[in-house]
Amino acid sequence: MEAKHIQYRIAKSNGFKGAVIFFSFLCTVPLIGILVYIVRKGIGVINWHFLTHIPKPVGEAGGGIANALTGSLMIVLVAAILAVPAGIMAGIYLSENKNSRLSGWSRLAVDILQGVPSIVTGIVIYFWIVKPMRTFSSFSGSVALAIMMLPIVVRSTEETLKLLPASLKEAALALGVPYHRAILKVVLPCGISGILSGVMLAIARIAGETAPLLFTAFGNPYMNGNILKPVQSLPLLIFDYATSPYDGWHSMAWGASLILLIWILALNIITKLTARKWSIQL
Amino acid sequence: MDLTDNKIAVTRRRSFLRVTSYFKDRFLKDAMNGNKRKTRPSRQIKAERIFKQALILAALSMLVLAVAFLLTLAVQSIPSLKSLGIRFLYGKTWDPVNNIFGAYPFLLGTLLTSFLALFISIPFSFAIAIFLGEYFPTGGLSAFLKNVVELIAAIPSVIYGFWGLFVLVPLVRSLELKLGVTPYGIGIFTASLILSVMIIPYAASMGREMVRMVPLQLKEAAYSLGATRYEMIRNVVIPYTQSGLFAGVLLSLGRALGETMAVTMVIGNTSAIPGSIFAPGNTMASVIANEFTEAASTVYLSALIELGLLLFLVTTVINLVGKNIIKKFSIE
Repeated sequence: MEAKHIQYRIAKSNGFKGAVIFFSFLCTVPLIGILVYIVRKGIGVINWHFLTHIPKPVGEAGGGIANALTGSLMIVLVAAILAVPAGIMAGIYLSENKNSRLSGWSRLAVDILQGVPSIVTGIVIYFWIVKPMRTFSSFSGSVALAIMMLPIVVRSTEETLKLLPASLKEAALALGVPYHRAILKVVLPCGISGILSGVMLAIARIAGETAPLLFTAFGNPYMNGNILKPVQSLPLLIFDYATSPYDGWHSMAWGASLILLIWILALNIITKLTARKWSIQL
Repeated sequence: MDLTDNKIAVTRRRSFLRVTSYFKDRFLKDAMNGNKRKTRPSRQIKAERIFKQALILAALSMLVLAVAFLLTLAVQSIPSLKSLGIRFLYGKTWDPVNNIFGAYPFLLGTLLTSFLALFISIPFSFAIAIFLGEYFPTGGLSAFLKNVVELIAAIPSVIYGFWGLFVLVPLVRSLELKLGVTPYGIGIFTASLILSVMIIPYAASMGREMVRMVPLQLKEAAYSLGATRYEMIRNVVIPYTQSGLFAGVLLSLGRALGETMAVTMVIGNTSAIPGSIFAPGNTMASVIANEFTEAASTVYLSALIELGLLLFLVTTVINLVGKNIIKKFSIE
C-alpha cells in the first residue's frame, strides 16, 4: 500500500517531467515548419537577377526586389543614425544618475515607449512628419523605426554600464581627466561590446517591422534614393505581394521573405557573438 | 682643462638659452593668443558642462517623446471624441460610408484573439520556463531550446502572417470542414493560433528568469521532507514565482494586443461582429492598418486614431503593471 503510493507519486513526477519536455519541444514544430517552408519556397526564386532588378508589372516574367533591398537598407541606416547616439546618451545618463528624479521619469518613459504597439508609432509619425511634409517619405519611416529602436538601445547601454566597476571611472577622474573624456574614452570603450550588441539587436528588431511603415515609407514600385520620397522596403513588399492575388508575386514574396529572414538571423548571430564577450542580459 | 671648462660653459649657456627661448616663445604665444594657459582648464570645464547638459537633454527627450505620443493621439482623436462620445465604445456597427462608427466589433475581436492566443500559449511558455529554469538550466538541450525561443521572437510578424496565410489557413479550413462550421479558413481562430506562437518567447524568457531565482534552500527543504520533483515544483517553485509568471503573461498580453501585421493578414478584415471564434473579424490594430490611408472624412480618421489611443493606453497600463511586478519580485 505504502510502496504503491510512493510509486504513484514518482510516476506522477515523471509524467510531469515528460509533459514539460513534450510541450517545450512542441514549440519547435511551428518554428521548423516556418523555416523549412520559407527556404523551400524561396530558394528557387533567388538569383542575381532577382536581387538586382526592380519589379516588373503584373503578368511579365522576371523582375526583382532591388528597390526593396536598397529602400530597407536606407530606412534602417538612417534610423540607426538617428537612434543610436541619442539612445547611448540617454543610457549613459540613466546609469550615471541612478536615483535622480529625471532618471526615474525617463526610465518610465522608456518602458512606455517599449510597449507602444508599432502601428501606433506609425500613426504618430504620420502626424509629426508625413502630414506637415505632405508626402510619404523614407525619412518618416526612419523616424518611426528610430523611436522603436530607442528603448532597446537605452536599456542595453544602461545595463552594460551598470555592470562596469565604478573604480574605472574614478581612476580616470583621479588622474585629472575631464568628466566627458572619462566617459567617452574610458567607460564607453569598456562597455562597447554590450552596447554594440544592444544596437544590433535593435536593428534586427526593426528590420522586419512593417506596421509603422504602412503610413510613413508607404512603398514604391521604383528605385528611389531620395530620403524625402516614398520608398519600398522588404517587409512592406512582402505584405503587398503576399496579400495580392497573383501567383508570380507570391513566389517573389517568398524569395523576399527568405532574404529578410537571412538578414535578421545574421544580425542576431552577430549580436550573440558580441554579447558573449560580456554576459549581458538583454 | 680650459677646453672642458669652456665646453661646459657653452653647454650651460646653450641650455639656458633654449629654456629661456622656450619660455619667451610660450609667453609671446600666450600674449598673442589671449593667454591660452589660463583658458585651457576653463574650456574643459565648459566641455564638461555641455556634455552633462547633452546627457540630461537625451534623458529628457525620452520623457518628451512619451508625452508627445500621448498628446498627439489625444489631440487627433478629439473630433471623434466630440462627435461620437462614449457611444464609440459600445456601438455595434462600423459603417464609414454612412458615418457610423462603433468600435465594439474591433474591441471584441482584439480581446478574443489576444486572450485565446494567451490561453493557447500559456502551457507552452510555462513548460519552457520550467524546462529551462528547473530541469535543464545548462547543457546542450537547454541551449537548443533557448535558441529556438529567441528565433521565434526574431522572425518578423509579416513572415508569420505570410506563412499563416498559406499554411495555417488551409489547415484550419480542413479542421472547420470536419467540425461542420463554415470553412472560412481565415478568422479569429487562425489569428489566435499565429499570435500564440509569436507571444510564447515573452512569457517564457520572463518565467525562466523567475524560476531560476527560487532559492536553493527552499527546494532542498521540500526534498528533505520527501517531496518528489513534481511536488516540489507544485508547492515551492510555482507559489514562489507566481507573481513573476503572471507578469510574464501580462507582457505577452501587451504584445498580443498590439500585434498588427500577422493578424491583419489572416483575420479576414470584416467589420461585422464575429459570430463564433471561427468567423472572420477585425482587431483594433488591423482595422487601423487597413483603413488609415483610406480614411477620407475627419471623423473617420479621428475614430481610427481614437482606436490607436485606446490601444496605446491599454498596452501602456498592462506593460507598466507587468514591469512593476517584476521589479518588486527581483527586489524581494
